[in-house]
Amino acid sequence: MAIARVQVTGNSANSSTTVVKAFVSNVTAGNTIIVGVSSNVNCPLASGVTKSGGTATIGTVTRDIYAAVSGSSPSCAIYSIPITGTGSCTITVTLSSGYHVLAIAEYSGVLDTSPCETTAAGTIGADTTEETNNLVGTLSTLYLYQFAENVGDNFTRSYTNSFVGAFEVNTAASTMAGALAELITTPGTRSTVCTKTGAAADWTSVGAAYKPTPAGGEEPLTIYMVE
Amino acid sequence: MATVTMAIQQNRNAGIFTTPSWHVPEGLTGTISLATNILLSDLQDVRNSLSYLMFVSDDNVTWREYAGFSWEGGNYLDKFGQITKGPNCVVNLAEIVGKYVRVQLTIGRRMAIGLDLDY
Repeated sequence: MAIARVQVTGNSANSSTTVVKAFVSNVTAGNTIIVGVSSNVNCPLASGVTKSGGTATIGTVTRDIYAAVSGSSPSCAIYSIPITGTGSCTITVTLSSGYHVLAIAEYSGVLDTSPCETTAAGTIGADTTEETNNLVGTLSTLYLYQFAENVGDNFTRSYTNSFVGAFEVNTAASTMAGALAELITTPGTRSTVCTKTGAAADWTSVGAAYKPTPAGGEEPLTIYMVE
Repeated sequence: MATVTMAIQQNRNAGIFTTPSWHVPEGLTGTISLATNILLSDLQDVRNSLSYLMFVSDDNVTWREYAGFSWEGGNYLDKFGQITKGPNCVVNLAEIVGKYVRVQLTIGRRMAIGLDLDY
């Protein structure tokens, strides 16, 4: 089954200890929630990402990849959550007081169990060209990178290798900038470079790749006829 | 940039305070910032706390959760060593143009607080 993005949203919260965002539409059982967090303090363990409201039910939260604060470079992380019951859904991320960007996305067609095949460890820099480590997928068709920039500025981004910005915060109204970049494609080795306009900033990126549900949902059945 | 005062800064008791609603005009683009306006001495007081939840409505009658954050008082410094301003929340206008918004503040301890909406 092909992976498809159903919806994405997010926000930023400044000088806060939680950041909260509700999906605009109901989420659907069998789909997967991806949570991307960028912050000037360390992103939380999986236990720090919870469903705080709504009628949907979710399974266990997994923190698939994480990069801690390093010097002036911010922290970022990607989490995945199976949706077990259809309904409205509000996600809360709890962390130390700071500046945070939250992106939440719902995907259909992602494998239910252990969907994350591979991850790309954090890379950091202090310029306007944000590189990533490679995601080497042999089964994955969804490739995601979370970016974090320790800056409050109005700017735009561009991505290489056909990645698109599923959700971005690039505004001076927020003290922290961040983005969830996405590529839905065939299995392979993937990476991107996010180039921002404006001033240089301390940045961090992490990545994760997700496997699709096999076509038909089951392994092929072989029947032997014996006379 | 335009500012709408959702609630003027004044002493407010502990408890839940909900702002009046505001209709987000059609045609706006970019982001909108819902910024608290907290008295500096209250901002720096570690005993203070706040939970902020923004709601959205199509008809100004039925409301659903939209975005939010929590805050704890303290003398926090930003990366430039400056005292941080009051907490704020930034959301994309594309999702809320033509709708109504309002904010529910759960105030942990009496403090002087207001709320401005900048877009």
